[in-house]
Amino acid sequence: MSKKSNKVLTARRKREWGSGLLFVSPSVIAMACMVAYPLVLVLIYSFCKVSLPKFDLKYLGFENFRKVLTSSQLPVVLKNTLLWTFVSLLIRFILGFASALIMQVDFKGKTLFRIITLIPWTMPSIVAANLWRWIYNPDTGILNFLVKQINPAAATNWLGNSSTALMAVIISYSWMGFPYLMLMIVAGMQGIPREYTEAARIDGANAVQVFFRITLPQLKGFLLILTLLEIISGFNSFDLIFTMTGGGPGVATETVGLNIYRMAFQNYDFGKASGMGVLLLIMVMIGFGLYSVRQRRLERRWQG
Amino acid sequence: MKRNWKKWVSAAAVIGTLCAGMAFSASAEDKEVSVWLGSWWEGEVEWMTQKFAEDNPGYTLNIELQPIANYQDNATSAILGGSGPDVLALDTLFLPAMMDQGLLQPLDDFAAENGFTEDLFVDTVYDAGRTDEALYALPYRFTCTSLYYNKTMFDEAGVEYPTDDITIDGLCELAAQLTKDGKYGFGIAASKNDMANVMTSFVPFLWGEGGDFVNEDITAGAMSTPESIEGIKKWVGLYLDGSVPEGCINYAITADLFPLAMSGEIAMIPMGDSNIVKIDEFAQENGFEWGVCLHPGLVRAAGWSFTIPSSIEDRDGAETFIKWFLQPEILSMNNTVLPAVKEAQDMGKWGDELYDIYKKQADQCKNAPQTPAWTQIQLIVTEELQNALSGSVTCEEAAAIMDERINEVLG
Amino acid sequence: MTMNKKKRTLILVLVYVLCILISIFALAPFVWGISTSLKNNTEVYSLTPTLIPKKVTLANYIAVFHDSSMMHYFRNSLIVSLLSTAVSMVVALLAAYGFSRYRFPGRSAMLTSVLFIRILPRVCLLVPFYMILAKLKLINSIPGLVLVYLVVGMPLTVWLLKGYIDGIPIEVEESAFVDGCGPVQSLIYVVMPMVAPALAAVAMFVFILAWNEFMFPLLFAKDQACRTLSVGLAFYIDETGIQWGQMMAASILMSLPAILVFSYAQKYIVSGLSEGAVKG
Repeated sequence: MSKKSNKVLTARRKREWGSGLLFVSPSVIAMACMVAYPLVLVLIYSFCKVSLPKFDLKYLGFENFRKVLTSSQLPVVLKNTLLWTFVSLLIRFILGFASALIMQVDFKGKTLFRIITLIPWTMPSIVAANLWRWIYNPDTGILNFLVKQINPAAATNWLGNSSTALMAVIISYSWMGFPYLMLMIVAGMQGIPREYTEAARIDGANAVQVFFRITLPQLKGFLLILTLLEIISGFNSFDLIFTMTGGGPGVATETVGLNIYRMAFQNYDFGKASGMGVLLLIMVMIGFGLYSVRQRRLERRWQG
Repeated sequence: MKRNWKKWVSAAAVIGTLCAGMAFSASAEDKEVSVWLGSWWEGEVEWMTQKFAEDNPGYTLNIELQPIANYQDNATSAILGGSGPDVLALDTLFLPAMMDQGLLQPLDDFAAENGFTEDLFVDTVYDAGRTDEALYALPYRFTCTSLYYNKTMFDEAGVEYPTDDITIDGLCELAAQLTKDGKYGFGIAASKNDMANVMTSFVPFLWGEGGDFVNEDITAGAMSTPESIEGIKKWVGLYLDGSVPEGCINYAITADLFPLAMSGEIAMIPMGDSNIVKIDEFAQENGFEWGVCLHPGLVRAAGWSFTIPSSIEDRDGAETFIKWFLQPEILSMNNTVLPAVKEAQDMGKWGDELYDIYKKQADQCKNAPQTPAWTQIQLIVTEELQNALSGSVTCEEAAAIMDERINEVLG
Repeated sequence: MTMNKKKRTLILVLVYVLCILISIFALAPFVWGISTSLKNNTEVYSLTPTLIPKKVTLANYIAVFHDSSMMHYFRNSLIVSLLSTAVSMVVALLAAYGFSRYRFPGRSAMLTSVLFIRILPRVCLLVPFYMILAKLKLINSIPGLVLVYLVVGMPLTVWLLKGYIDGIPIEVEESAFVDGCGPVQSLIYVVMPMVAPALAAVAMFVFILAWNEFMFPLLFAKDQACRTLSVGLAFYIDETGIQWGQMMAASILMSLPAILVFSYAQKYIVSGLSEGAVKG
């Protein structure tokens, strides 16, 4: 990249920053309408006791936050949420990458494979959740039926056993979500200029080296955004767990997202639900902040 | 830039026309009354709409069916957003919290003016819609569970059928006797995604032993009383003894126990009036005979009531509908739900002897504690019961934790 | 560039094995669903589940086709999804281009706040969204849903497209500028073709988001006129249990269009792959 042309371009761009604003205006306006208001409300509610139906507010200071942070269930819920988020992300990445890499190879049946891997994603979650719940059913479910043919002792109560319940739900979630990751990875791979991989090949690198030295680093930025977004949605999601186990047995599959839902729509405690939402926001922002700081430090180191 | 502007203008025009189109389609001469009912009312919509228009000139009925999934959040969001229906049907379980949050309008004057007195209705469902301050709901549906049993399985095991005076201990005994050869004697529901079902399954044992969730003035938990612990032990005991399927810890009655019973895998389950019509189809296909008797202990009185959301300013339409539909002649015309108006219970198809058992069971019924904290209590009890079922705590420990947590909520 | 024949076979074997494993995982529940939809009520709950029904019945599928309201919901879902995809793609592409190629006051603030939409729990958005839509008179309307999906999808659509555009070297547009292209023309004729894979991926994401979403249409578009498929499917679950046969039949029929749309759109993503494929 020639620095001179860069400067010319950026100079022109600096002058025309008005056009920049125009480009982003539709999305920013939509956001301002739809998001600013809820964001402000959530912030306000988290410090108040909210009385329905008129949403009367009574200032409570940090009471909501205190109640959330001192809840005896918090450690378990956090642990479940972290496992839920990261393990399913890992599984989805593995499956997604494997599928994406397979697509790079020319083989018979590639089109069929393309279509098959998309199917889990096209199923509405309400159907998928009930279907998986039924598959896991210890008495009438197909999974135990198959397992019993091989090893009767291994057939367990997948969703009713606190040691297997979380993993069982994670697998269902991964099934539903891996096509999306696969798609994103394929799209990302498309952006890698082919000259890089070709050049490496000519230099004698084998497929594995190409993957780890060229493909992966090029995808890094892309993947990082994806990961961040997926982590966030992992913290918020609840409808799959709700349908399959309701958070049980006990609190074995209770996550933060489910807890917030319960608080708002079953206990009608919008104040506490907002408090949890704000805590989540803070957590994510801290994580994001730490990451940016680390990035900048690394960059500075590179520049010597 | 010019191209951009054109794009936005045309987009805005499209959106604007769509909005305008929506507005125009909503004009009517008659007064429209919107009513939310559960999706299982589908077969009734046509005659109700017709007859309502006939009997009430100047009004049209618009029944909006809602799925049971997320019914309560759906209703809550609509009311809070300011556009709820004129009449909202609610399960008795949804009532305490919604009444407490001011989401419903009082119906005392309306009920008095139209002669809707307490004695017209099944008392338990009526009570569920009342607080000390006011009456917020008028029941139209009563439902409870009785004990269904598979006669063929009993015959094969050489055991005598249960009768109306069976006790909780008797039930546990029969359950053990009928559990053999991979089949089970009974089923319980303990799934956290349907806590209402869990309560339906559990309370006969709790109340049957004389225990309860909270004390009389609802100021403290009462799960650690000897009676309550006895009830917990008997219910949990069924699971630990293996008299109920292993999956019960995550089962709901209609979603899981009912299909198992229909396939002849469970000999007895609690069965509600809405499922009893389906049994014959399955019994014939799977070749068995069945019967019902009174469920031991006290079963949970459940039902649905009509309410008027607080977001409604003009109550006229709502009152017209409720007044009309609660008439015994009209209410009994429905083929879907057992009426809560006593007179209607003997009319139409509801006079059939198939439903006699539920009318009898109405005398052996009890309401869950009338407190806005009920949803939280339900959650606490379900969670700790699940812990007891999985063996991570004993029944006594579970009871103690329940009381601790309930006191925290009530205190 | 020749490759050792043995190596090539090894890779092919590995690929096929992985392929089959992943396919089984992806397909199994779906196949089970189809099998269920072909069974009648009593066979569905049999304790010895069978993959191939003893008595195959098309009754469930016929019932779905005859259900005119299902067809109506299907039409609504299609309209909402296609419209959301189109609107989101346009808005997000414009925004991504603006954020990527320009610097203006408030840029980083705006960019970060796009993320907030995703961080805020859905639950906290439900009631405020309802109130805003009510004020804009967009409750129970398709444009209302489109707006919701546009906003909910923005963290992904805008950020992803921006990241992608960031990776496109600026020289490419430079030559266009030299030729006298304005930014819009540059966007449409130069950048867009290069962004095609990400654009297609983003389009699919929004399509599926709109297609599968349950809570938002349940709350904001429950009117019969604009009800979507996902809400319609929930009606198969009522207090007498789950009508598996019909629900599975309906949901499979309804997955087909999405699968078709995707197979088509995927071509845009993998179009260039054949050139980079392993040669042998």
